[in-house]
Amino acid sequence: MSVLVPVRAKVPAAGPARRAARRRAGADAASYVTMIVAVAIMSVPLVWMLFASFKQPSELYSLPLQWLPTSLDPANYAQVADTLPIGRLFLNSLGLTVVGASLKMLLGLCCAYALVFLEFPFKKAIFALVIFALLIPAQITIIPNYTLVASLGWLNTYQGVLVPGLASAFGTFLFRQHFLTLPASILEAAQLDGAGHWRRLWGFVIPMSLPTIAAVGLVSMVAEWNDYLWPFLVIDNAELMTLPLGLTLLQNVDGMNNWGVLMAATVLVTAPILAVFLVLQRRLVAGLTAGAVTG
Amino acid sequence: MSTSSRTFSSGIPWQPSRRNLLQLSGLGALGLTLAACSGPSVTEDTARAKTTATTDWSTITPASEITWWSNHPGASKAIEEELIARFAKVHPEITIKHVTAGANYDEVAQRFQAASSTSNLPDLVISSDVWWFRYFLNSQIMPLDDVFKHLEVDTSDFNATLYSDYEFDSQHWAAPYARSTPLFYYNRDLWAKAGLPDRGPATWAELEEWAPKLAALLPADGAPLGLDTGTSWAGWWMENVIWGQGGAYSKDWTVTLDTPEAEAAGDFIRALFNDSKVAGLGTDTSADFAAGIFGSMVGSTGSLKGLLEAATFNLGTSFLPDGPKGSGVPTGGTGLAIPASRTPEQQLAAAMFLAFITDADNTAYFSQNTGYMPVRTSAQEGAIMTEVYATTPQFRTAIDQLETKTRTQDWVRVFVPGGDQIITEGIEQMVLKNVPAATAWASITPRLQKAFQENVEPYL
Repeated sequence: MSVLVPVRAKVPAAGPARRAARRRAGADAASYVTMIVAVAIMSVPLVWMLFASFKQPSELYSLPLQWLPTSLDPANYAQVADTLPIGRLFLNSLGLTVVGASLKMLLGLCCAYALVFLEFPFKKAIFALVIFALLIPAQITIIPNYTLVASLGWLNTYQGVLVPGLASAFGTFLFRQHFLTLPASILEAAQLDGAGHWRRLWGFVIPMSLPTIAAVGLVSMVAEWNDYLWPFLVIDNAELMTLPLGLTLLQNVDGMNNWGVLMAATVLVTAPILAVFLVLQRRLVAGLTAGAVTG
Repeated sequence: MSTSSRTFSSGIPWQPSRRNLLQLSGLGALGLTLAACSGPSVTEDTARAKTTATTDWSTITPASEITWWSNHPGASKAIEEELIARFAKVHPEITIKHVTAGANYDEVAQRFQAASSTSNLPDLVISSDVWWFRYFLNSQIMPLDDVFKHLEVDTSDFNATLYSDYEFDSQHWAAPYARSTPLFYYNRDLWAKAGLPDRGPATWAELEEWAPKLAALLPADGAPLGLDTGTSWAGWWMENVIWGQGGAYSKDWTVTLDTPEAEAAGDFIRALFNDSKVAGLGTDTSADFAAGIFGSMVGSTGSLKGLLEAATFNLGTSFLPDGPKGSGVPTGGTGLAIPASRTPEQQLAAAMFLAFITDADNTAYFSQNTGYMPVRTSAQEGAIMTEVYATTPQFRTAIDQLETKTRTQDWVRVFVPGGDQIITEGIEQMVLKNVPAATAWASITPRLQKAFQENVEPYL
C-alpha cells in the first residue's frame, strides 16, 4: 500500500529575504536622509529669512549666531510699510501675475492644440521654431522689445509689461507633449458628435489636462511674480511698480543694508507665491511628468 | 590730465564710422545682463548728437518739467525728495519728476543704455565713476562747463579731485554728487583688548605687525581685516595698495601691470590672504565686521552711518594705510550728468537743478544724512558739517583723507569698458587661487589692452 506523502513546498532560506529587507530598509533610510538634507538646504535659508525679519541689527550681527529673535517685534515690517507703498505694489504684482499667467496659458493651450490636432503646412517647422525659442536667452530680445514698446507708447503701462512676454514657448511645448498622450478615440467621438475645435478644446482637452495646466500655470505665475529685469526697464512710475521692483528702494549702494528690513520685505514678496506653490505642488509634479513617455 | 583731440587735423568734427558703430552696437543686448563688463552700445543718432556748435544759453528758457533718474545712493530717496522740495521753493516754475531708475549704478546704466535708442531719456542721470566715460564715448552726455558758466556756478568751489574726476577733452562731463572714498574702519574695543594704540595702522606693514594680537582675540573663522571682492570693490581698494607700492594699473591709457611695483602689490595682497591670513573675504564685509568676525575692514564712507547703528562696539576710523613707496586713496561713488540729446530747454533746467543740489548747503545736507562727502570745499567747514563732526567725529577722518590723500583713479579701471571687471578677475586669482601676481596680471593685461583698443581708442 503506497503512502501518499504530502510534498512540502520549499521555503526559501530566511537569510536572503532578511538581506533584501535590510537592503530595502537601508535604501529607504538613505532616501530619507537625502530628502531631509535636501529639505534642510532649501528650507533653512527661508526659516532664517523669517526669523531675521523680526531681528534688530544688534541681534543680526551678534556672535555666536542667534537663531531666534528675542521678540516677534514687527518693527521691520512697519518700516517696510513706511518706506514702500506695499499695498499698491502687492496689487500691481497680483494683477500682472494673474493676467499674465492666464494669457500665457491661454495662448499656450491654443498654440499647442493647433500643433497637435490641426493639419497645416510646415507644422513641424513651426514646432521646431518653438523649441528654438526655448534656447534663446530672454535678455537677447530686451533691446528690440524695449524699442518696440517705446515706439508704441507703452512705457509705464501694464500692457508694456505684459504683452512682450505673452508667447510662452515653454507652455506651448509642455501642452503639446501632453496633448500627444490624450486618447484619440475620445476626440474622434466628440468630432463625430459635431463638436468643433473650440468645443473640443474646452470640453475635452482642457478637462483631461488639468495637471499640466496647473504645472504651466504655476511656473508662469512664479515667473511673472518674480520678474524683475523687464518691468524694471519698462516702468519708472512708482504707482505701477511690482513688489520685486519695490525691494530696490530698500537697498543701499555704498552704505550698509538694513538686513532686518530687507528680510521683512523679502518675506512679504516670497510668502504669497510660496503659499500658491504649496497648494499646487502635487499637481505641479503630475503635470511636469505628464507626457514624459511620448516622443 | 592729458587729453586727446576728438577733431581731425582738417577741423572736421569726429564721427564714428559705420564699422565702429557696428562694433559697439553688437554689444548692446549683452550690456543688459553684463552691464558692468560690456562695451558701450551706441546708435547712429546718439553718436552724431555731438556737434561743434555751442548753445547760446542766454537765449534759452528752462523747461517746465524735467526727469531725474536716480538709484537713491545711500538709501537717500527721502533726502532727494527734500532737495526737490527745496528747489521747488526757489524755482516753482520747474517740476522735477523723480524716478527710481535701479537699485545700483549698473542698473541705472542698463536702463539708460536701453532708453538711448528711444525718446524716453532722463534730463539728469546718475553717472558713476565707471560709467560716465562710457556715456561720454557714446556722445550721450553733454559738457557742463558752458552751461555752468552761464548759470554763474562757482566750479572752483567743487573739491578739486572730485570735480576733475569727470574731466576729459578739457571739459567736465558730470558734476560730483554722492561721492565717497574707502576708509579704514576698526573695532576700538578689540584694539584696546589687544593693547594697540587707538588709531588705524599708518602703513600696511604696521597692520601685519598688529595682526597676531588681533587674531588671538577673534573667532576661528574671523580675520584681523575684512576685504570685499567682487566688481567695483576689489579694484577700488586695490588701487590704494598698488599706489602705495609706487605702481598703478595704468599710466593714462598704457597698462602698467607688468612693473615690479604692480607685482609687489599683487603678491602683498596674495600673501595677506593666503600666507599670513591677516585678511579674510566677505560678501557683506560690513555685516561681518559689525558682528565681530573681522577686527577691521576697508569700506566706503557711505557705510559709516549704518556701521554706527549696527556695531555693538566703539567704531574707529582712519586713513587707508600707506605702502612702502607712498600713499593714495581712490574716490568713488557717483556724479550726475545731463544727456546730450535732450532739448536745450531741458538741459538748462537740468543744469539749474544740478547746480542747486550740489551747492554748499545742499551737499552738506545730503552728506549729513547719507554719509557721502560734501562735494563743495566751502561746505566742509560750514555750520552743518561742523555739527556732523561734533556728533560723528569719525566723519572728520573721511573729510581729512579726501583733502590730503585722494587722487584720480587709473584710467584703465574707470574709463575702459569692462576694465574694473577684468581687474577684479586678476585680483581674485591672487586672493582666491593663490596665483602669483606676475601670472595673474599677465593673464588680464592683454584683455585690458584689447578692451581699450576695441572700445575706446577708435573714439578718441
